[in-house]
Amino acid sequence: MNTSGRLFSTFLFSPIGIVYLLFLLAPIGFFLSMSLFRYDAFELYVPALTTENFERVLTDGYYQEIIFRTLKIAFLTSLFSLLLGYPLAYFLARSRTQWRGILMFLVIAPLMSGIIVRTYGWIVLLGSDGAVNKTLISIGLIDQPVQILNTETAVLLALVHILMPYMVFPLFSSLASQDPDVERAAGTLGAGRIRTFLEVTLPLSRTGILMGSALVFTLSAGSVVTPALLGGKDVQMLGQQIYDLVLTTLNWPLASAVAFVLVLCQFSIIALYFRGGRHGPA
Amino acid sequence: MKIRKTDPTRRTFLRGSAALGAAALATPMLSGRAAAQASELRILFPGGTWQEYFQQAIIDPFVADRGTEIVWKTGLGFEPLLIAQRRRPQWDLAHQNQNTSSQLGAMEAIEEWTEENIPNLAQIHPSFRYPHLAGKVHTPYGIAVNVSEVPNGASAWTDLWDPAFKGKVGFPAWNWMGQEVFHAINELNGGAPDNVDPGIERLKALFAENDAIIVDNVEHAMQLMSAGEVWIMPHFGARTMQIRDAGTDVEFILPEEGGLSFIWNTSVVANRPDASRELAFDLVNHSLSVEAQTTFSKLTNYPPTNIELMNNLPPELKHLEMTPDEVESLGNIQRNFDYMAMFAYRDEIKTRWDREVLGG
Repeated sequence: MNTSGRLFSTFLFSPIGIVYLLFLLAPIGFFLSMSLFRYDAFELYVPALTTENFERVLTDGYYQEIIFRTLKIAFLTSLFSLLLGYPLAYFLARSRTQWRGILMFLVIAPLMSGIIVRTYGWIVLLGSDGAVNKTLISIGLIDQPVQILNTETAVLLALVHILMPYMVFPLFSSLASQDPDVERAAGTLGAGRIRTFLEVTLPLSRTGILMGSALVFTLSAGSVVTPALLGGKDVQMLGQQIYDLVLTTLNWPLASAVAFVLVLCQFSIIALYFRGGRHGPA
Repeated sequence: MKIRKTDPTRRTFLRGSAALGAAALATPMLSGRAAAQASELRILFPGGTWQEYFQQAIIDPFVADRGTEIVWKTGLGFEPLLIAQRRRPQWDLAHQNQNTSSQLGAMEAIEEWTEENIPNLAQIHPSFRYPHLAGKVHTPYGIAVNVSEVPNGASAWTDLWDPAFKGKVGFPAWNWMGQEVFHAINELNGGAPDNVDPGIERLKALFAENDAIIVDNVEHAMQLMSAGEVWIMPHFGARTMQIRDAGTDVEFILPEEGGLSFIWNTSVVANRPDASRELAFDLVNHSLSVEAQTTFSKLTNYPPTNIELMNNLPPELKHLEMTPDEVESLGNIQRNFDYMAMFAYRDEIKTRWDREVLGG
């Protein structure tokens, strides 16, 4: 790229660069510095440097368990969203039916109601007297209601439902932009439908998979409302800890340390993921 | 054509200087007058129906009378903001209860309430007056019980530990009302903010042995009680009635050990300009009046705190009438609370709650 091209690129990137600087890097820098301050019950924080907040988060079994659970739930949410979202996105991308628009609308529709409303909906469905238990009893799979609410399963179900559109749209975009002749060419060269999918379609939709997974992973790792309402006391996640530390106990230095660890985990996993994805087949 | 002389002479210079001096003198006077006529109140307030009721019963009549402009910031947990801004606050009023107002008051982040600043304070029942806040209504807090599932009802806080309710007991989340209920149970079991062992042991048993469920807020309580997931839980009186009105057979009980009573109002933020402070006190004074409390009680179904109104409830509010003994019993436990100690030890206590009660 010549000098004028570089200048033009810089010009194009500068607005978004400034936005990232002001609203992403500056806040992260702010809470990194806050996480190194000492907590004080009355002053909230004292600007005396300490590593005790990070020591507490990283060495305490209580926080280690929460970090592990958060990452596990985020990973499983991404995995199930991908497994359920891929066929849907594939169908939407390949379908020429007049229903395609309506189906697309149905994918977006959940985003039109608030996350709290959708989470309360799950309470009604998953309760001991809810539709799920009633159905399982009526088809004879269980004799009496099983506890689904206040478990990791409930949180996982709701997060997959809530975050599904964030998986489907990058996948749809990636699948819809594929040249259909590539699949036809594979067919004329003797590849069956499964082989064509596994060796052509799937690798070509890698960008959508990476983007969708990154979005769902990040959003689920930072979720607060859904685990609070559906997970009960046994499904504490990092987002809830940060919320409580900031607003209830007012321990901002520790909240900042927890937040920094969360962001670091998210960045690291996504970076590894994208790095792994880049080395896949072209 | 007459040419206007523009070159400065000694007379024009002196005249100009005098005018500038007068303007300079007038500027602080003008800004002082503008401040004395503060026309804007900046309020930190929770949203939802509570804000609608507040707006309808208290703000709208006040604004109609004074022409004040109201700037809202809605949300929960404004204490960090008030503490962080306590030397240069940007907000005039903040919605608080007796717990948070006592803590903020001790940190000099909010103003003390006196009858000099707030004449209507003299009309408020002593049970609902605290140094930095007085309730515009009070919110009796006891036990909500599903009488279809628990036909014998409940009568005491200790009923929450009844093994018959295993898996069907709710307990408020710490950041909702859990902190206050925990301290009440700790106090009833001989504890204090600097000794929460009794409370931790009791609540640990409630969660470990009776499989208590965390309830996050009013709507969550409504959902869980309506869905039959929770049969018994600490709750607000009027909110229990809302669950009943929605079709679940629930009753509200004031426990025999004494109920809790939360008072809510907007505390007046300290270190604001005098005019804003006066206007804020004016609004608070209005919130304690018979007229404002009558409307607010009708909307919320919470009992008033104004003695004149308490003694002369209109027919549509007669169901909110409480005997002097009931009023007395409501504040029994909380009157012993050391709010500053609760504040000072909050991190240690919450840490123990998370690990020993929820994680236990």
